[in-house]
Amino acid sequence: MAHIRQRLAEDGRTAELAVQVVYEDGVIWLEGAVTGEGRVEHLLAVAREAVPDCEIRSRVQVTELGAPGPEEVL
Amino acid sequence: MIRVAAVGDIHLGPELRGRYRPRLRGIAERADVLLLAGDLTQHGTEEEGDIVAGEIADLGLPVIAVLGNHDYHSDQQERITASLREAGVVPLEGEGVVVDCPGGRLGIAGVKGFGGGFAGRCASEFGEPEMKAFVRHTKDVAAALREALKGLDADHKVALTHYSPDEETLEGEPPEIFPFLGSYLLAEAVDEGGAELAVHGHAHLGCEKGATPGGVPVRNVALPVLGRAYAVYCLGGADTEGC
Ligand SMILES: [Fe+2]
Ligand SMILES: [Fe+2]
Repeated sequence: MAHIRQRLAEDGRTAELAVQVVYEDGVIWLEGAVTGEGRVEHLLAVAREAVPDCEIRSRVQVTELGAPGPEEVL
Repeated sequence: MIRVAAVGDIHLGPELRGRYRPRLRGIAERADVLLLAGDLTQHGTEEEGDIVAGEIADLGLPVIAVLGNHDYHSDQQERITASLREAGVVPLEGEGVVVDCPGGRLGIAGVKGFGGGFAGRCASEFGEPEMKAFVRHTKDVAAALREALKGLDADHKVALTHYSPDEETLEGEPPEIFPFLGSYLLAEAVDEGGAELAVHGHAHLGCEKGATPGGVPVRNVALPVLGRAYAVYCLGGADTEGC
């Protein structure tokens, strides 16, 4: 798990430092948020290369670039 | 009233070319200035720097930026800084800039910042040279932020960093990695430098709102935290039009 996280951070295809790796009932889940759909595919590819014998799935959210919200007065 | 738009951690790359700019449409009507809190690229390459420059050029308002750790990853930070400058952005690293806004003069001091941790659970400049170098870098950038803030001749001052000056805005991140997300030394600089607002990014899993020990509002504007294209904060009271 630590190894997967390190690979996700250091592999040139991903460079994702904020993705969590969680083990649940035989499945390794990737969690967090990224800024594009294609990045989820890269995360899965890099993680599966790191541990080819495990089932790896993604719960990673793709951050919506929503409209700006209301201003906050400080 | 000065309206400060801010966002960090847009992490642009080739697959996002042309995708962010549409979200900034109309920003010049909503804000007086846009602050970019670092991690503008994903891998810190020259190509990504050019993509960022293309997405944020000619927005119709002053854009001030600091870089983040991702922007340093490919050792192209100087090239990225040059691209930003060519696009009309003011990149800051240990410097300040004053922007004349309709509501007054807004001073912004910016540094990337660094880690080290927070009160009671922080790294010290002790032991191996690598450890001392780590903490020394944080001390240096915090000192640069403090001096840049103090040097601003402005009606309102804002501190812009990538790393966090505050633990509260890290809530949601694993506590074990707080020392890699920011430093209390940055908060001391914010308080001593007389800032009214501190804006940072970097903590994607954190939350938006916190404050320094001195009571200065801290806002984590990392894009995944905001969940919107940018935030707008109004300084100088709510008694005039705009906010
Ligand atoms: Fe980031
Ligand atoms: Fe970062």
